[in-house]
Amino acid sequence: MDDLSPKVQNQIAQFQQLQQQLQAVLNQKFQMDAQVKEMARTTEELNKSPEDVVIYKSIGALLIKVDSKETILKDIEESKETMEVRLKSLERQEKSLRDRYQALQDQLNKALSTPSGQPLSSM
Amino acid sequence: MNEQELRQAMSTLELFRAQLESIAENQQLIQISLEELGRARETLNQFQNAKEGDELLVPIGGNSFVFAKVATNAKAIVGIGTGISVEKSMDEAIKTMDDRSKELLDTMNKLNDRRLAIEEQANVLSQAVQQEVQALQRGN
Repeated sequence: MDDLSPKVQNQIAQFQQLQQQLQAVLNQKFQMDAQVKEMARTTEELNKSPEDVVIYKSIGALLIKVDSKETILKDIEESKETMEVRLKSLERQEKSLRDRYQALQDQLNKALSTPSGQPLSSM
Repeated sequence: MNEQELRQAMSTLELFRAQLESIAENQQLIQISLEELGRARETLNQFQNAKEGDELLVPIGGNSFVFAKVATNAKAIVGIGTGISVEKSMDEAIKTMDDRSKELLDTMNKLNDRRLAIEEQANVLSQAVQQEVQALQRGN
């Protein structure tokens, strides 16, 4: 690492930072995606249930009886829409990070392939 | 393989390792869920034999129990995600557990297939990298 020029060292640090940022965005996206899928599944299950189905909503450790199936369906739909908007924004963030990641990776590959770059055996 | 290709191959191998790790973690989680569903199914099944008014002990944690009585053995409450639960007949509740177990088993099998495919790719690539590194070392 000491053999590398300060510029390349800086690029490696940036690359590692980008990797972490990308991983964080991917994790958030994965969690949000799972939540959206869960909501779709709940909606599907509720729609399949008879009109007079008894529904409970969990509030902490308690289950509270819900009066209207329609209200619950509306609540879930609203939360799902909000979540989908956030998911889209995360996707944009992911794309931008991936582009920067790819560009930096190409730059580093080029820099490390030159004689002044890092020798392969020390990688 | 030139140096750049070798570097690329090594980073691909690292990616495979991370993917295999993630698959193993997911499989562990699925296994835990399958065991939990199995326990729930068995409890629902046994509960059908309980008569209304029968005394039972409800675990409250800390190895402690409180006394309760069976109100009905005909229905149960089943979570359907997003913090919502619905009342189902006992048969439906048991079927829900079975359906979920089946879905999880399917996912488990898919993950197994994926794991085997990645392991195979990783083995091939790893051998190629090893041969290349040895050739480079001999060249030096």
